Amino acid sequence: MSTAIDIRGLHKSFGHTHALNGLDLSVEHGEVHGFLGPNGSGKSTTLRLLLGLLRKDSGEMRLLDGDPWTDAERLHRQLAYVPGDVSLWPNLTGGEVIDLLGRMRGGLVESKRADLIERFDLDPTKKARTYSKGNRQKVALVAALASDVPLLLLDEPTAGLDPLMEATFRDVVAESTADDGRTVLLSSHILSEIEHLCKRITIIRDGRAVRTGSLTDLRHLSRTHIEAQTDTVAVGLETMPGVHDLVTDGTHVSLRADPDAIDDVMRLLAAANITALTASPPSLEDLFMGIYESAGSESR
Amino acid sequence: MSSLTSTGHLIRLALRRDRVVIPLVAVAAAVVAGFSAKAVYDLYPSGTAMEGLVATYANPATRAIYGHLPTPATLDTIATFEISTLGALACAVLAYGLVRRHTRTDEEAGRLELLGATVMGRLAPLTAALTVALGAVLLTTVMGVAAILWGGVPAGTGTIAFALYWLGPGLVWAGVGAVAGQVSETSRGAGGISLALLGVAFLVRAIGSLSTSLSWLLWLTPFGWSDKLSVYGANRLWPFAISLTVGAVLITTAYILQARRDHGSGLIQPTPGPPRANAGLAGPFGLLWRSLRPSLLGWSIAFAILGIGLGTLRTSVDDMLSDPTIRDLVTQMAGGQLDSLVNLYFSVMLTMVGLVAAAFGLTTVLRLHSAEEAGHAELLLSTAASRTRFFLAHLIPAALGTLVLLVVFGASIGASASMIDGDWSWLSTLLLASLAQAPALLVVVGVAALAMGIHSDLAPFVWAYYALVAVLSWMGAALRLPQWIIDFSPFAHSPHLPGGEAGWTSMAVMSAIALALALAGWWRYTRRDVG
Repeated sequence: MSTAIDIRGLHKSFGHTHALNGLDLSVEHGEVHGFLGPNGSGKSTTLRLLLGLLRKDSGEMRLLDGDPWTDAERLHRQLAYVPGDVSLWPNLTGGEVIDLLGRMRGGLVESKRADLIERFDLDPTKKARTYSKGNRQKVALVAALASDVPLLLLDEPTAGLDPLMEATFRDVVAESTADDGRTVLLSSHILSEIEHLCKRITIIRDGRAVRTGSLTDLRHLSRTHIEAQTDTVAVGLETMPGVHDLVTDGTHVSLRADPDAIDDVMRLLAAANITALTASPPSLEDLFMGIYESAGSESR
Repeated sequence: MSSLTSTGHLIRLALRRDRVVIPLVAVAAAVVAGFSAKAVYDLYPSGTAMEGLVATYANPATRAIYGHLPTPATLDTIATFEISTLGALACAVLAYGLVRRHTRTDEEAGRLELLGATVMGRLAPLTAALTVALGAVLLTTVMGVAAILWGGVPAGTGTIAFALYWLGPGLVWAGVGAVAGQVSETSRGAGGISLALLGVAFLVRAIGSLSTSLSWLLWLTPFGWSDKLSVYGANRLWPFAISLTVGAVLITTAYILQARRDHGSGLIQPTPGPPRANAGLAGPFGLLWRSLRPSLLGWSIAFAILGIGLGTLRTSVDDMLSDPTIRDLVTQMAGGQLDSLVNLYFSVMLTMVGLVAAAFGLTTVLRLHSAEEAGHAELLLSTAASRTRFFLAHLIPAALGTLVLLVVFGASIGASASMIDGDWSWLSTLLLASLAQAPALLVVVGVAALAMGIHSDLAPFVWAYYALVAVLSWMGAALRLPQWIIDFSPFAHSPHLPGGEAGWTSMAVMSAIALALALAGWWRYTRRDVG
């Protein structure tokens, strides 16, 4: 069996707006794949295309060895979807919505349903119109996570959840991949969530993937933050290629170094006799901001 | 900060949001009023014997809808007669619709919360909504008055009575809408209360107009108070004081409730529901049926009451057959197709109620639009439910629901006419006559299905189409429109039953058209972007 989601060169326009501009995305079976991008970058459009709600203009798109448009019904028995802004039927209770969606997906795991309702601290007897945004989100999450499906498509699923519930969400998703071997495509811009759950990520901007790979690899490709205290003043850092955001204060140095510049930087610092040193890998935030700032300046 | 702070801002916001709908209603009401007044003068030259003319307006069908023709009647009375009721209805709907839109709807959607956090008085939204609604009713009335004067109605006390006829129900339903918005926590509930009261008021007025012994009922309904104005008849103005008082009491009640309640709450508190879904709630059909069931039940009850009420009038129709003037006019109006006044009466009633049943079908199909708008379609179509099933889950109940309503109405009017007459052949005759309208109804439903298949945003177009069909069916002949325009309405091709030809060919053609429209709609729906 090949990858769970395989998208190549996907295009989708709405009138004159190009939502997707040749997107590539590949999600392996059993992984939690982080799908990052700012507002309006095409994340939700991608998910809707995967759900067969929208029709692609061009490109290749395979979902669980099927075509999202023509095999929609068969595929929808194997996946559950949580939209970013959950709108429920105001006169149905949360419990009824969970049952309805579960049945329409092909069945709920009863034990999971009960367990999740308890862990998410949800009152299933309340009418949907009386739920807050966070509680509506919980209803959709319970319905999705309690379904007996191998794939979850989650579009900013924790928007509106309190920190406690966010932690519960992380635990539950982590369990469902570890225990049930589920595949998850998690669209989000909560970076800590992605860092916690995902091994591999894809970052998109203007409807195109700008980075994809494992977090470790991406970190290696990115600038490392180096802070050092030396005996003598290290000379030559200003002109060294691959050095960024340099701040020197006498013998104290703070900088960001491109991966292939690290070796040169360390030699130069060592020559000035290092007395204290911290080197930290880039956080996802650094990664994200770096990509966006550079991509932004390119396009301008 | 006073409790009215920022009312001005809210009024401007409301006017900005309603800058299309308010002028549209006002202009539409004026156009219908102006042209139908003019049509009366064109149709009857001055000096036409009033006696025979007045008699034609005394038939129960007309009385049920438009009330008694004011006396003493002149051509001016007739020119303003039907549009008085129609305009008053439009003003009532406009008034409660606008009040609801700017109070409970905004509150439920959370928009008022956003505004309430600014420097805004507690009573400002209600005040702004009432100002806009009453302003819109006044604008509609002024345009209507200008239109009838253009149509040839002379200015005078009658003009003022005509204006008050429209203003009264507008004022009362502005108050009803305001109170309903306090009572119900939901916009849907508030609208339901207002509309139900409108229906009750109209029904009470119909009964009061039809039955001599129950004519006191006219004192209990705003439409009755308007009737007492006797527009271009006796021209009494004082009954407007009743509407004014009732409107003021309702509005004051709304203010008292508004000042005391919590934001977001209503007098009716929500209750907990079942934690598990019953077995029927397992797919798009079950889901739609759940919200459709109470609505279809309500419509069926209303149709049954209407049918029984209209059926009992069968005898009073008979009495009028003795007058030769009426007999001539009936033959003219029915295009020589109908043989008796009784049949004309039933035929007209069936067409009118058929149009209302079509509205039920439309609202059902248009739930596809609201489901898509709300994001429900996205959620449901992400499950194993196919687009075809989702589409049919709206189309089939729409079609069957309208058929159920036709059966209920045909059976109840038939049964009640039979009991009055002791002739049970009416039951089958009227039941079949009612069902003979099904093809026309299905065409209207089919147009809605096609529109939803093309794009969810076409919902307003569907309502415009429906309004056109309704105007053509009700007023096409009165407005003296050319036949090819009238033919645009599917109801123009429905057989004139009872009494006329069955018209199997046109019924078969319309059924085929309805099916083709539905299929085209389905075909497009399975191929378009959703959400």
